Amino acid sequence: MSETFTIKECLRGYTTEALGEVCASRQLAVTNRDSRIRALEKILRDPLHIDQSIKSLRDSALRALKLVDWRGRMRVVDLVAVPGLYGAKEPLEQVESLVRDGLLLALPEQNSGAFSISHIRQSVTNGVASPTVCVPEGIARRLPAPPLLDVEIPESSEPATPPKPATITQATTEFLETLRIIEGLTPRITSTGTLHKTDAAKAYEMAREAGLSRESMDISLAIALQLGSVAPKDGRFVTTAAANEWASGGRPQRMRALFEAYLTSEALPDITLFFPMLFETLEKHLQPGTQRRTYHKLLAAEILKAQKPGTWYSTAAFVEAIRRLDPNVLFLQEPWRAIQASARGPEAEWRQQAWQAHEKRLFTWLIRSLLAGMGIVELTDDGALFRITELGGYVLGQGEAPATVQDEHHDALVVQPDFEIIAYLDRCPPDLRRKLDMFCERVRGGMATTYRLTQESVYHGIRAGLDIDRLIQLLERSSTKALPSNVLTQFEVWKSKLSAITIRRSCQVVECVSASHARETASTLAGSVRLGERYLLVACEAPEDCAVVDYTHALPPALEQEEGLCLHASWEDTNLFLRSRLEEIGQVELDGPASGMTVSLNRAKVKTEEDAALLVAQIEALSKRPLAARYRLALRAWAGEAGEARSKTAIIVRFDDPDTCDAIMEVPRIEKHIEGRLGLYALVVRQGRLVAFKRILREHGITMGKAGDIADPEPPETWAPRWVEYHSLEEAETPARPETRREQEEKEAPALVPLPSYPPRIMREILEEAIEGRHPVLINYQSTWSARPATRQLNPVALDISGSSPSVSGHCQQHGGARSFKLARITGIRLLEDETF
Amino acid sequence: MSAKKTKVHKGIALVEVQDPLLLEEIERDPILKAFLGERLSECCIAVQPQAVEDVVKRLQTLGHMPRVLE
Repeated sequence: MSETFTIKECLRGYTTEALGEVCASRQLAVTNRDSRIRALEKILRDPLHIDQSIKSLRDSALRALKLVDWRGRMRVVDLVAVPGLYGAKEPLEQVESLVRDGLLLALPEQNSGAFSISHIRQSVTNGVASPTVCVPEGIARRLPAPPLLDVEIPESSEPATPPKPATITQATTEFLETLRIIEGLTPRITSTGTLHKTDAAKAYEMAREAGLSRESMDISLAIALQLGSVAPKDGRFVTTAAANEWASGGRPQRMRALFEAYLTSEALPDITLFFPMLFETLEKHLQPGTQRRTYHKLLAAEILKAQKPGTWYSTAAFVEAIRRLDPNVLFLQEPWRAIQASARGPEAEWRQQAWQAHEKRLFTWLIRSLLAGMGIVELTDDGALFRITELGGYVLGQGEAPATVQDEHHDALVVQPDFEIIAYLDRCPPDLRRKLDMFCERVRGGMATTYRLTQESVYHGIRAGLDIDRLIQLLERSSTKALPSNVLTQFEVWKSKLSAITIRRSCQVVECVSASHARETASTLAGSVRLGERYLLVACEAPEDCAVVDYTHALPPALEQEEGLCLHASWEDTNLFLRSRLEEIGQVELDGPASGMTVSLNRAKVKTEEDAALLVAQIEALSKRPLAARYRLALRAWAGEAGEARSKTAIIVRFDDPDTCDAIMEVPRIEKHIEGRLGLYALVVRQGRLVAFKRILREHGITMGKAGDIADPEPPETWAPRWVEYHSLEEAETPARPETRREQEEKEAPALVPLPSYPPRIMREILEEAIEGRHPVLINYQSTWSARPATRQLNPVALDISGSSPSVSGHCQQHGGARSFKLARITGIRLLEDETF
Repeated sequence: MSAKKTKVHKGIALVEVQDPLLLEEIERDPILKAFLGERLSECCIAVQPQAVEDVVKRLQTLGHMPRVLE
C-alpha cells in the first residue's frame, strides 16, 4: 500500500460511477457515495473478505498483485506493458478486473477526484495520463507467494559429456577487474553520470589489457554501481567499502548479489550491445524508474525460475519461451519498430527476421555469457544445452545456498624475497584477489598473476581503507611457504612509517588567549585534547561567544590599512595561515600571544618591478578595503619605477566653478599659455605668459582679481570623486547592468571545487609551469561581478606581472573564450599535470 | 586585547608527527611550506584543508606514508 494515502483517501478520488462499479463487483447494494466509500473501506480491511477474494484470483492476477506490491506503486501503463512477468494474455482486462474488485486502488494523485475505471483503458490506448495503482496494505499482507510462471520448456536428453563446473566464475573475474580499473583510474564522470570520454578510453584500454571486453566492463560497472561497490564522489567514480564486503562473502551470496544487481540496474549495456541502431529509440520507450526498463532481464529470470534445476534444456527453446510469453518484450510488435528498421515485405516475415537478428541474440547471450559466467547455468561445449546449477537455483531464489568449499586456500600464493607475489587465480578467493589488487602492483596477468609489493602500492591499499596487519595475516594464510623474513621486516618498516605522520582532515581547533585559559576551557569541553599551550582539538560543539574562522570556505580578507606603510589584522580576523602570508610581504609584529598582528612593508622584499606587482597583488588579496595608493606608490618607488619629484614656482589661476575652468581649457591654442590643470577649479599658467592669459580671460569676459587664496574650499577626498565622475561619464556607460550580470553569473556559477591557495609569488610559479608545459589549471576565482568565487578551468597562455595588477590570460573553459584573471582574485589553484592543451 | 577570549578554527586540517624533528623537516620543504600554517605545538601544525591531497602526495614523494584520518 502506498505510504502516503489511506484506502479512504484513494476511494475519495474515485467518481461515483467508479465506486458503483467496485461496489457492484463486491455485491454491495449501496447508492450513496459516502456509504459506498465506507462500505468498501470496511470490506478492504476485513481479513475474511480479503482471503475470499484472493482465493478466487487467477495465478496471473496474484502475480500482478505481488508485482505491484513489490514495487510499492505502479503506473497502469507500466503494469500493462509487462504482462510476461505475471503471465497474463489480456493484461488490460486483468488490471481493470483487479481495480474493479478493489484489490488494486488508484492513487488520488492525478485524478483530481475523478478516477473512473475507463481511465485505465484510455491511458493505455489513447495515451491519457496514466493512473497509478497500489495494493492496499491489508491485502498485501495476506497475499500468498505467487505460483511460478506457467511456461514450459521441453526437456532435453543428457549430453554425452557434461562440463565440469568452473571454480572461478567469469563474472567474478570481470567484476574484480572492473573494480581494479576504477580504483586505479578513479575516472571522471560527466553531469549525466557517464564516464568522461578521455577516462572511458583509458578504462577500456586497461580492460583490454586485462582481457576484458568493453561490453563486459560496461555490464560489470553497471552492476557495481547498482551494488554500491562503485559510487560517484567529487566528480569521479571510486570504489567503496561495499566492494570489500562483496568480495568477503561466500560464493553463492556473491553471485546472488551480482545477479540481483544486474536485474535491477537500469543501465542498458545489454541493449546497447544488441540494438546498436535502435538504442536511442528503445531508450525513450524504456523510461527510467519504470518496470519496463528492466523487463527483458526480469522476464528471462522469471522463466528460468520456473524450470527445474539440474535438467537439461535447449537454449533455443528458452529463447522461444520468452517469445511465446511476450513477443513484444522489446517492442517488436510496435509499429514504430518496423518504421525504424525500414521494414519491407510481409509483416510476419520481417518480425521473424528482426527477432532472429536482435532479441534472439540478446537472450542467447544472456544464457551463454552472463548466466553461465555467473555459474547460474552450466552449458554443453557447443552452448546448445543448459541446465540450472545448484548455485543457480539459490541465486534464482528457488533453493538453499549450496555448501561450498571454504573460500580460502593455503597454496594460492607464493611470496618471493624480491617482493613479487605469484597468485594462482584458480585457487585465489575473490577476497584475496581484491586485496592483492589493492595492495600490490600487477606485473603480469593470467592464471598465474604476478604482483609486486611496493611502498606506493601498500600505501594505496591502506588509503583505500585496508589494514596492513590483516594483509600480512592473509598472505601468511594463503602462501605456500612462510613469508620471507625480509618481506616481514619491510612490513614492519612500513608500519612504523605509517605511525610517524598523521593528517587529520577536518578538525575543530579552539584557540585560547593564554595557557591558563586553555586549561580552563579544556575542563569544560568533554573529549578535548590540548595541542601546545593555547590550542585545543575538540570533537564536540565549540563554546559560544567566540570568534569563528571557517576554513571550508575561502578565508576572508583580514588586513586593515594603518597609518604609514603598515597594515593590521585584529585577533578575530587572523587565521592560522595569515602570519606566513604576511611574512612574505614584510616585517610582522605580534601584539601579543593572542593578539592581532601588524605588518610593515619591507623595502628589502622589493628588488624588481615584478616583485612590486606581486606584492601589490598579495596585499590586495588580504586587504579588507581597496588598497590605498600610497602602498602601491611606495612599492613601485622601491622597485625604481617611480621617477624623482621635481619642484617649480608656478602661477596658479583659480576660477569660481569647474565649468569656467573647462571653458578656458577649450579656448583654441590655450596650451601655449598654460601648463595644465590642477583639480576642478585651477589652471597653472606658463612662466611669462600671465599677461597674455589675462588678455584671453578678458576677451571672454572674465576679470582677474587680486592674488588671494587659491586652495580648494574642500579637501581632495571631497572633490576628487566628483572630478573622476565628471571625467568618466563615457566609461560609466557600461554595456551590461552590473546587477544583471551579477545575477546571471551567479546563476551560471559552477560548483566550487576545494583548491589549495598560495601567495601570488607561488601562484606565478605554478602558472609559469602550466604555460610552459601547456597544462590546464583549475582556479577558484572571485570575480568582481559575483558574490562568491567560482571554479574555472583555464588553459593559461600569458602571465602579465608588469602592470599594477598582475594577471593571467588564457582560454577559460567555462566561458568558452579568452579571459584575463587577476592573481589577487584567485583564491585557489591546482595544476592539472596529467592533462595538456 | 580582543573582547572575545576564544577563537574556533573550523574545518582546519592538522599534520601531527611523532618526532618534532620530522616536523622541522616538513617545514623546511619548499613545496610543503606553501600549504602550512601556524605550529600549534611542537608536533602539530595547521595545513590548508584544501591541500591535504597535495600534502600527502608530496610527503609520499619524500618517502613518507602519512596516515590520513577523516
